[in-house]
Amino acid sequence: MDFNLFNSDTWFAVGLSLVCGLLSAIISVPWGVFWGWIFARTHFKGKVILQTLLYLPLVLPPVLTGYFLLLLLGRNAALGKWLFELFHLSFVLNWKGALLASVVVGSPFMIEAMRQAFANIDERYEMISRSLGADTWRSFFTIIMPLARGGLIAGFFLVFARSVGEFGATIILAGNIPGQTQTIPLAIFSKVYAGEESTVWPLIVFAVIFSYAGLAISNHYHRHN
Amino acid sequence: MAVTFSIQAKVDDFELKVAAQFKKGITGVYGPSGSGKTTLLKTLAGFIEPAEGSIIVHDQVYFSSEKGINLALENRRIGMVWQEALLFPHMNVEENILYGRGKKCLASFSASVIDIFDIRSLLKRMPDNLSGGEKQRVAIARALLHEPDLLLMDEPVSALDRPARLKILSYLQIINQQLKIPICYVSHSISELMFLCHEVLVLDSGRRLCFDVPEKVLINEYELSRADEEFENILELPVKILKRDEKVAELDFGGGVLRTTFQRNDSPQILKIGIKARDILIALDQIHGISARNKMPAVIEKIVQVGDLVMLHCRVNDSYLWAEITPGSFRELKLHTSQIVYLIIKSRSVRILG
Repeated sequence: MDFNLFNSDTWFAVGLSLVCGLLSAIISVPWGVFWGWIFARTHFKGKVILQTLLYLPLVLPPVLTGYFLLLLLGRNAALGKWLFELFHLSFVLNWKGALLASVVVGSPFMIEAMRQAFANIDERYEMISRSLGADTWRSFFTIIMPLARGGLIAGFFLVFARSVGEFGATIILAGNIPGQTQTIPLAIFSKVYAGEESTVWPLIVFAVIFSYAGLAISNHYHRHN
Repeated sequence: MAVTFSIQAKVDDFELKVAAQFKKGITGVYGPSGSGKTTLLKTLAGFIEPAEGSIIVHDQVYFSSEKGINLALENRRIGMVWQEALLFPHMNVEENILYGRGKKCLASFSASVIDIFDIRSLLKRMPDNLSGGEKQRVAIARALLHEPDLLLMDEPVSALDRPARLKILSYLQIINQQLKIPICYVSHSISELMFLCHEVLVLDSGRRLCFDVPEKVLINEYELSRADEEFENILELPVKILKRDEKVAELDFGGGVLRTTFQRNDSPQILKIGIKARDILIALDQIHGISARNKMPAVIEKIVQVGDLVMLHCRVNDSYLWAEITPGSFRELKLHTSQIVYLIIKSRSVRILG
């Protein structure tokens, strides 16, 4: 067995992918619930435009999404400068960039999962709960959210699976630094590119396990919603 | 007055413009699909905000465009029951019915509602494991336990089979008598409305067509022509004599006797019965030597042509029955109002409903 099969950079890539996947799924929850509700239950001018904009990362080349993020958050960009000066926060060439790229590319899945879940709930459940004295918030947390639970779990694991597979936006924003910003797909890319194909298979196994598990759980709950 | 409202509400292209005063008791709302029945309920409940008007329930102003008042749904004391029970699927029966009571323990009121609806044995069950009738009983109990000032019901029994339907209808009579909560009852069924309601509001295209006692509303040809069900007279009659050997019960009807087959072992004081209008025969003279057990003189009070049928409203002393005949028989018998006829009903056609 090759000695370098499980070196520290490989483990780091697996760990970073796992952390980015889970964190981006967690961060996507409030974001997806908020926009999912807005798109399922409200009508306003410009709704379609806003919805298309938020769903754009689904179809945009991820490299381009990453490039837009770089233009927005780079040290020389206004927003990037402001975030750095005020909070000492930077997303360029570090793991936070990898996380942000995952969130931006993955969160539309959560919005859509929640939109569908909310749209499928008979609005009379809410009517009944409020007629029984519950205010909007109590009604939302005790009736609507439990009924949308399947959509929430399906969305969570879909975002996780998508994040684990994220490549284009990450490499542009966070770079491909082993032990710092290198996730599983980036490590696979590096190894294949450098001709180290004999050591790439553990990464492939992890990538397939994470993606398959995420998608399988998501599908299970999507069907049960 | 229990409920007074005058509302003008717009939903997409539909406009509801209606005013009425509901007394205590059960008020029916009747009309074809799309006439605004459900929109009326949603507006009274506070889910649709009227453009103009006022809604007052028990002297409390729920809505007034003039005074700028619009109580939120949760601050109106209104119970809602729909055609589907819509029990919260992630809660058991007990959690469902106590949802509107917060953490308060089962008070005597809760206990009495649970007993009236006979759901004590269901408390720990999940909604998925209940029959349609059980679900609807729980749904009504849930609405009542919030102690509403007004109960809104949108075709609450139309999805149920006949026995479950009759059970719920009798519960509704009980809660109306015992709990004194005014009920606004939307239905397509003339028999149900005749049985339950003391007044019926008829809507058409979002407007009030008429509002009166069910007998008057239902005599209206316009309304009868829209009934897509067979008309059934539903009555509650005191039991005079139970002849168990003959398997017959004699009921007090219009000062005389109405016989029905009776095979139960109990001894009820009152029986709820149904007689289909088409099961009543009309004769011009008293007929002897006929097997039917019920023959009674009656006066024709109204004659209503409904599509290809003729409906006769017949008075037997102080009681009424609708009888249905074909236009051919109607012409042949040369029937007219105030005429005395004989109603002939087989005892088997007098069906015991409860």
